[in-house]
Amino acid sequence: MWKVQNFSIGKFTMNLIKNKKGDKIISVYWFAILVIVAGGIFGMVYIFYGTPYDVREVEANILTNQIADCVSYAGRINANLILDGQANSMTGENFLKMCPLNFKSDEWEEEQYYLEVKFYNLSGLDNPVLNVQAGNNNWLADCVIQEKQKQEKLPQCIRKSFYSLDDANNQYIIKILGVVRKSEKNVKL
Amino acid sequence: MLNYKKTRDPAWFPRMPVGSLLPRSRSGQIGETVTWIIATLVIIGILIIFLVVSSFMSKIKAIHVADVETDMKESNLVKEKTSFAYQLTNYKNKDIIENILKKDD
Repeated sequence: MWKVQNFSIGKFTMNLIKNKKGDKIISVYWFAILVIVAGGIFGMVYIFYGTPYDVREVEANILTNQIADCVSYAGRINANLILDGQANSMTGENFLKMCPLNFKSDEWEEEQYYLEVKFYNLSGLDNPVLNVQAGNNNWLADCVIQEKQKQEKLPQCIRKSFYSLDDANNQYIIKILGVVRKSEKNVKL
Repeated sequence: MLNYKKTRDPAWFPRMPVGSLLPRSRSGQIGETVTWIIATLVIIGILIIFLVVSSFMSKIKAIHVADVETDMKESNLVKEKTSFAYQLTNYKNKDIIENILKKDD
């Protein structure tokens, strides 16, 4: 609809036409642009802040370091594990108490951690002298998949191996595996 | 209100719509519309680029051990333990042990 409007500039008076239909279209356009931009900003924020920080690999690394510290100190193996060449059989629970580690949490129904420590004599690298396992061994199978191809949603595994001696100077290779799951809190599923 | 329909002479204002004071330029209108369409496409394009960038940035939020260890390269706990054991045995079987550890890594 066309409407006449009078504008006064000094002595002169101008008559201009105001297009109300065009104004409406422009208003709708601006509103649409506003919605698109707001939606875009929302999307950006949602994508970035909706993705949690994945710290499982670092956590698994800390776990393996803690185990390594517990198993061997200053080049000598913990006497509770191997003494004078004789390995003491140790259950997972006892190992967790000794180290000390607590895998149980109120936040999770099932344990989210798994650890494995194997002691190999230099003369026999195929059979471990002592094998300690603790935690939820369901996550162990996922480590095999992770080694072939890295999967974000699967538990994170860290393997470390080092060299140490017992009291009788027998030489051992110690292999540690630390696994952390906690996928729900570290990955967008 | 003035009635321009009565006073307008079509011979003087051939492209003027009925009830209008100013003549409408069709090419001007097309130009303006194209400008708006391109501006809209540019806005949407920029938004898509930002969405892709934020999606890429969200993948960097996974913290790896390598990222953390670059700050504390010298304090590799496991290597320290191995070197302690070497010193205790005067580096006996060092090459064999190094090979075994390398294979595991």
